Amino acid sequence: MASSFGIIRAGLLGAALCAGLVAGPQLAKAEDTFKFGGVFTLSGPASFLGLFEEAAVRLAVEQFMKGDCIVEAVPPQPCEGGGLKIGDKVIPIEWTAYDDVSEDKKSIDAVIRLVEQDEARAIWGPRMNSALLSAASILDPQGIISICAICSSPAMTVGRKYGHDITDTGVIEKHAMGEFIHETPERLAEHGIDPALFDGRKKLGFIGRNELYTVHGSIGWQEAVEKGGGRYEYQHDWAVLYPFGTTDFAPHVAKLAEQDPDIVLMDAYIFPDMLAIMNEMKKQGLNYETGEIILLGNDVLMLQIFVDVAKDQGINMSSGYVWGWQEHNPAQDEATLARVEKYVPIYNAKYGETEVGNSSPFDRGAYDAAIWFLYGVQASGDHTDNDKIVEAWRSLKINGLRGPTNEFFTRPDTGEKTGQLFATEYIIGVADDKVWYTGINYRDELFYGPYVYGDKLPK
Amino acid sequence: MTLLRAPQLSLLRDRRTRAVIGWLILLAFLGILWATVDNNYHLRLLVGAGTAMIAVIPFGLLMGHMGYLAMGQGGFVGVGAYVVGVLTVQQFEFDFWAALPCAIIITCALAYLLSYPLFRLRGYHFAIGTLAVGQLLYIMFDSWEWFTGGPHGTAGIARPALGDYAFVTNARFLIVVLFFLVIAAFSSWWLARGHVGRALSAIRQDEDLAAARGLDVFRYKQLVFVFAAGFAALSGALYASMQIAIDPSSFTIWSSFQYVIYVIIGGSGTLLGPAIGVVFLVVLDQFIQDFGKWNQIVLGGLIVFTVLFFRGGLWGGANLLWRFVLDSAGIRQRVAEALGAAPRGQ
Amino acid sequence: MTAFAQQLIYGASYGMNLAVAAAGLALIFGVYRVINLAHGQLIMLGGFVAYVVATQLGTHFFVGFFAAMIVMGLLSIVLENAVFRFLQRRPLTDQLLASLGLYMVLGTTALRIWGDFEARPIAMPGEDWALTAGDIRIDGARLVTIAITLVLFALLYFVVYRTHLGRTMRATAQGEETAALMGIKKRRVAAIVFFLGGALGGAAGAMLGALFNVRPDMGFQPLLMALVIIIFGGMGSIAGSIVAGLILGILYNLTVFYVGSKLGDLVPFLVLLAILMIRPQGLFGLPDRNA
Repeated sequence: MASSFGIIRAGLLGAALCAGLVAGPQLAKAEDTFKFGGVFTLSGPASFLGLFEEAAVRLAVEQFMKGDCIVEAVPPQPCEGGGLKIGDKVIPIEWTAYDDVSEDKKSIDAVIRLVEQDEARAIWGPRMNSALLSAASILDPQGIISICAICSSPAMTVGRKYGHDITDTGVIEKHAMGEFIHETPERLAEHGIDPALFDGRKKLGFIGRNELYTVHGSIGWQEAVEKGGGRYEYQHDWAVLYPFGTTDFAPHVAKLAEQDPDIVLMDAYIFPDMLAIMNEMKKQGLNYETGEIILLGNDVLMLQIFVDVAKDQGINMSSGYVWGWQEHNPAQDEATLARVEKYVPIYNAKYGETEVGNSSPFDRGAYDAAIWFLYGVQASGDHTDNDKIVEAWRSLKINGLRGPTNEFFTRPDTGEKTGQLFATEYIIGVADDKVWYTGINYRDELFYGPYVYGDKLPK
Repeated sequence: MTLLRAPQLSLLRDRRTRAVIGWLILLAFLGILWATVDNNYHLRLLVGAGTAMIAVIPFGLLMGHMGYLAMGQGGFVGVGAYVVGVLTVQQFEFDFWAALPCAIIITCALAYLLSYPLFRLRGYHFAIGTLAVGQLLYIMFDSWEWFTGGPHGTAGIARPALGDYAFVTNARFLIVVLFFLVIAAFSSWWLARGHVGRALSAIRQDEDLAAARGLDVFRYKQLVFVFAAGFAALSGALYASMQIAIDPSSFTIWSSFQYVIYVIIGGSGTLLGPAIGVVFLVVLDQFIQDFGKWNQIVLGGLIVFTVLFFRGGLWGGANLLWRFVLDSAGIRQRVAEALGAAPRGQ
Repeated sequence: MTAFAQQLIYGASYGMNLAVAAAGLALIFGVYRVINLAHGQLIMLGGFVAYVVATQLGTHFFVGFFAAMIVMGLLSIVLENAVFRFLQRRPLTDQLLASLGLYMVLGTTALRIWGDFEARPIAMPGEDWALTAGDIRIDGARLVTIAITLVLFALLYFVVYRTHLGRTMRATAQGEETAALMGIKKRRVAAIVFFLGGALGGAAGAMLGALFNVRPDMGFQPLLMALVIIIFGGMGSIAGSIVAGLILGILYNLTVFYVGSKLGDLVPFLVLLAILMIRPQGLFGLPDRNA
């Protein structure tokens, strides 16, 4: 009967309204806590970068509260549980996280929600490209600390007082590859690499998804070529940048092949993208298995698990023509190994069976960064003063899961500590289907150019 | 005993009265919020909702009153945002108030030109035609680096100022947004009530018949399309100023779908419905965050639910509830007795 | 010239995949008059079903392929019963919005189940060989998907134009009331049409997944292209879908190669607008009474 249906509908609407009225916003507790918030990409097209990040930071906060920190600060900081030890008080950490649904407007909404409503003093994220710039203009004037361990973007730190990038950036990484291709034959031979590897190679290529990270990557790649003084040729506008949602890479790789490069830098970090590009490259005469080109990749390419997956799909990365970097020290000392061995089972037990998946170097970086920050807050002696926190944190080092004594980069021109991790890039190769560390690494020589430090990020 | 006399009752049941009451409630709601909210986050939500409404209410004329589903409105919002962004930051350093009319004029001109090819289409074809326009504009934002900054986007867009009074805080910016919201709502209402409104409803019901009766159908369609695009540009300009930095990811096809969702969830064919849709979804958004990673499943489910169970959207549902309250209070019988006739309707 | 020919071939192979994705959408619209945006997620879920069956359970590609078709066909029937049957007489906007809601639900559910960031290959016949003529090559796997596509379209054509079932479908497409008066069972036709539409989506997903890996975001681009294709080819036209798919795939590849890697969608969408201006009913469509 039509009218009874109407009554049902009216009832449903009424119930919905009542539910909305009853579930009002909960009032914040007045006790003294350290409020720490996060904006993560947990759904939508960019969610693969948010899930493990959120998982690792949540785990870090939980462990800090339990007094079970796996990584240690230098000089040492207590991790006794219950919260931050400030003076003789123990301040609990209040952790709140929101999903930005891969939309930058929601990202900024969440940032403001954390600052204004949840009264967070420090915010993890946001990670969305344009949200980074908007967030900077909201957070920095208010002195709110922002932290990211996977943004890999200069927009996190350059020209910012309270931004912290606890990883390398797309630019620094490419600088490392730039150093590598300019190595002398002697140094290559010394580290067990074919001294003639780069002989006769001149033209460089670049392929990646069209986004801020790769645009910065391509710029960094060009800077590295310019620094080398004309041994190689590359221009930023040669970059092949494929759009979001690309499945068939054939035309994009064809465009790259048309440029006839001798060395290609693949700046992709999603397994399906990378595999499809590498498959297509082989078919289209950009063969890194036979040395027609040298394929340079990134820290995702140099994951052992990726090498295994690629092998399953018929891609041989052990030709001696595939190189990349890693940011965590592959020749780990025993203390670091012990930390990793303690951490991985905990993480895997918690998330291994969920869609977050097992531990990788990336969640370890986020975990390091989170605990490091909490130590920094403790070291400041005043969890309510962000200027003190920033100063104390930046002068603290950490023996983390990525290696011992990670520290912040000090600007050579002004001598001040920046929020950028002084990241070391370790050059990695593949042999017999295993990634191996060449012993070559770079750090000080990578930190140059307007995209690494300066007073303002160039447009 | 007769609670109310018949003329008052028929007034209560009148569609226009309900709309007026609805608007009053909405305005009172917003007014109370504006007066009481000092939480910057809630102010930001109000600014965001107001900005969205400026685009959505005129868009509702196109979609609801005229029955043309446009799936590329995000593109016009983007043009407005980028024109303001580019003029105030990148190349020219215009004042916001100088850039704003440029944004509106450029977008209107674009919509005017596009209306000629697009209104050769109807129904689903029109929807996909506008989708193509939206996607083409998105590609332009993403790859015309000289103009838009490409994936870099455009950062450092200023908030407007009047003399020394800068609308920098959310509370002040809200004044600007509400000012334009009133213009958007009032001009939409003005368009919808007169001969344009009648023409639009004739077009929605049977376009060929309307044309056969000598109505210049195309002119009306063009008028409404350009009108909606102009306010989309205004909304985009305010969005850019609110957000400070913009990049192409804000103006994808998904953003265009968002406007459609506002209109349908709120209730199409009315001016109030789309506004209610915006308020509802902005409020809902705060609650579904409690579902964490699952929030998009909840939201998607709610959309399906609303479409299935509330034909006229939430505003339609509210009207139904209103009638239900009147009926169950036995008022209808009393009217019938008072009038000495059988009740109309159901 | 070689490069041009090569792009034609790549584009044709991609376009065939898109055509299968579009055919399901076109069939459902043609008979049932509903646009189902959730079709994009049926394509994606089809890829996951094929991955689970073929790769994780270690069976053959074709087992996974048929499993994807059947499961997606059944899911499609479920969606019809739960949602679309109530929307048949509702405005276009309501249909689109409800299916958009389903798109969000299905997409996020898949993300929550499988996560992202992983490689999910499906081994398929033809992966290890290729045909070459001079510098032009075509991979075996792409040839296999083209062959599958042709077979699917032949079967679809046969079902729609040469069987009793097809006649009932076409009768329903022409006028539901008349068809009902002639004793055609509306619910049964609806179930069959949705099954076929979903199965075609699943098939497209299995093929795309086998060629390019399965991923939770793989449904969006094919959906977008499919929406264009069914207009381009004329609503509900099977031959139109395949021709339009080919043209779009080729245009996409040529644009990427000659114009710019970021601009792949540019020319297809411009051409779409141009075609709509000249022939609003599409390449193969008859003027649509309701459009």
